[in-house]
Amino acid sequence: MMNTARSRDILTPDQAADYLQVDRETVYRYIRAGKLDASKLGRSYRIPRSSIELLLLATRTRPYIKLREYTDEQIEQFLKEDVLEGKALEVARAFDERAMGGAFFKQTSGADEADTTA
Amino acid sequence: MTIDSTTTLFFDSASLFAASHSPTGGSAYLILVCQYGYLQAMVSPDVLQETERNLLEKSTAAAFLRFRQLLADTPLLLVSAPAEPLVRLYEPAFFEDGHVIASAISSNAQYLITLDQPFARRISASTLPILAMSPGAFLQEVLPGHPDYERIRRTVT
Repeated sequence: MMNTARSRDILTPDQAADYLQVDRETVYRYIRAGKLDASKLGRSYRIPRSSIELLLLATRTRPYIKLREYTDEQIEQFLKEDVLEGKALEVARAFDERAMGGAFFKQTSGADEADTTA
Repeated sequence: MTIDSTTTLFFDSASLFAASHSPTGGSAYLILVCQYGYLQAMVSPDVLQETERNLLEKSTAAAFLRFRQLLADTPLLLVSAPAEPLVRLYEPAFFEDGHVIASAISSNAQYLITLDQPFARRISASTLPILAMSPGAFLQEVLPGHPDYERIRRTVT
């Protein structure tokens, strides 16, 4: 199965999972997140092998670089710290209105403060 | 320190995560200011990768798409990945953030924008030639010094 998957240019999610040696659900998660480009033909996905190679390239690591994985608590703290309030909000509103044509606050007036699933 | 459109802001992954996850926050605001050309945003490949991984694991598909859009819309200065000796140099003081500070310092960024308070405190306690600030603190303390902000104030008053 693996040899077949390696030799094909278009893979099914199962073949992609086999090729990447990850769970099938992980492949679906990457597709849903837009990290892995796929085409939906009828009810099933087909994934170009080039998309998988690109994913491997984008997620490659160098051993001396340690990338951080934030905890839920850290993310909560970041988002709290990111809230615009007080003088920062005042400056932001003034600069937005006069220098950016109100682009920020017009664009965000109907938006949620943050996604709720962090 | 005076600022203008050439002032460089190095964004870490905490601020880029917040900019993607929360479009109404200070990080998203500062990125927009950079998109308008009032300031210059800088990032490193490792910071982008760190952001992307955390968004995939801890946020939503919508936030991930916003991150992709942010990369497409923002004239980012992408600095070279730091060499191993430079990262090792900063690791004792900055641990896993060694690569962040190595990239920011080697690219001569003037400000490091982060929401990670312990990281910002470590930078402030050092003698490194860079100022670490949250987006809110930057807006409050630095942006009012921008010539365009001064011009705006004069127009309004």
